[in-house]
Amino acid sequence: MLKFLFLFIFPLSIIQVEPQLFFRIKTDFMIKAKSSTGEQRLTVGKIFYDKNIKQIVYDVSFPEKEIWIQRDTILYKIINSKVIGKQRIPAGIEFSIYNLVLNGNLNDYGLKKTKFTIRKVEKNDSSVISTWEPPLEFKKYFGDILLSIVDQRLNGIVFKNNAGEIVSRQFFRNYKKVNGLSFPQEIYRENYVNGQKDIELTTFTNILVNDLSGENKYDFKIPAN
Amino acid sequence: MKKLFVSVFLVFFAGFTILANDADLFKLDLNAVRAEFTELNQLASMVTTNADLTYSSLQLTNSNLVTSLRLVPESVLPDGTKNPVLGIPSFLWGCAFGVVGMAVVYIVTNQNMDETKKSLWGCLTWTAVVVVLDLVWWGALVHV
Repeated sequence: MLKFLFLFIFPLSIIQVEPQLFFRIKTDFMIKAKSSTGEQRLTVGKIFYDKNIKQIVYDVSFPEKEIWIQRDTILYKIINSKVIGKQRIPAGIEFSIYNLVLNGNLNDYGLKKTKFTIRKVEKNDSSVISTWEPPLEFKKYFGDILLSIVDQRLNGIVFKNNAGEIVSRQFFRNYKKVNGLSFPQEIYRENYVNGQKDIELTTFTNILVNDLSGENKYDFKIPAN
Repeated sequence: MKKLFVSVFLVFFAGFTILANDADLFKLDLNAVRAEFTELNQLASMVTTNADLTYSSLQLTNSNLVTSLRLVPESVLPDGTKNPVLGIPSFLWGCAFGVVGMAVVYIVTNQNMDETKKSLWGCLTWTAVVVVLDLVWWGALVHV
């Protein structure tokens, strides 16, 4: 009987926790940003994301108390329960780090599910760098995207424009396992604007996975005004 | 003429170009990055210990700090949510695609006038470059 139980339980114990088991993430964040002209910005708050609801809630406490909601490619700014602005943004929720992590797609940045294709793979001492090229119809607007994997985790990503110049570099550091889910606690980003470099350092703390409290935070209702 | 045009184009865009092989693209000195934010760390500590602190209240109680940090009261969101259209700065949209580029910026940013103005500057800059090149070309023709 014991042998039977062992045979039954052992295979279950070695099965890794599947990404589909992860559906929610909550974390504190702090972003320090510096523009090429020397202006600085500090943003502090909490993030709530449920992949089934498909909206990212940014509960910002500094510089001012405000809530930002991202739904698809629209970003709503809410102050004192009133929508005071909305803007269209280029990247949809599918490519947000929270969605990519919860779905186990961070390592390829979700590119496998796009029309981008791998053109080149290079192995260095400790990293594997893959070069993804846009489909023909997008080559007018986009350049290659390069992904660096270190220790089977996304280490960095470089976006180029159609002339092959770097538009943005991002680095993902200090991964922490929370309930079996790996999440980078530090993201550094460089954006090149008119040949000048803007930088951002984001840190995530108090990361919670599959948190079942504060339902209204994840399913935040946008006021009708 | 074609060579001159290409040369000017390359010089103009030299600032945007970074030459490196693939592995070099992923080299990063994180300590140097952290050092960039040394000044901001003081404020970060203040905000962490005082959850009620906002930019407005800081400006009233410690405006010197706001000024010395050159602190901007605008939030940044993680994930580069407010990044430029398709990752391409608005200036370059105007520069590369002219009025069409400006229209793209205007529509995609939901009528954001600041971004549209940047694309206008890009458009005007490129127009100025073309005019100067034309003058140089005609000048060269006249002297031949």
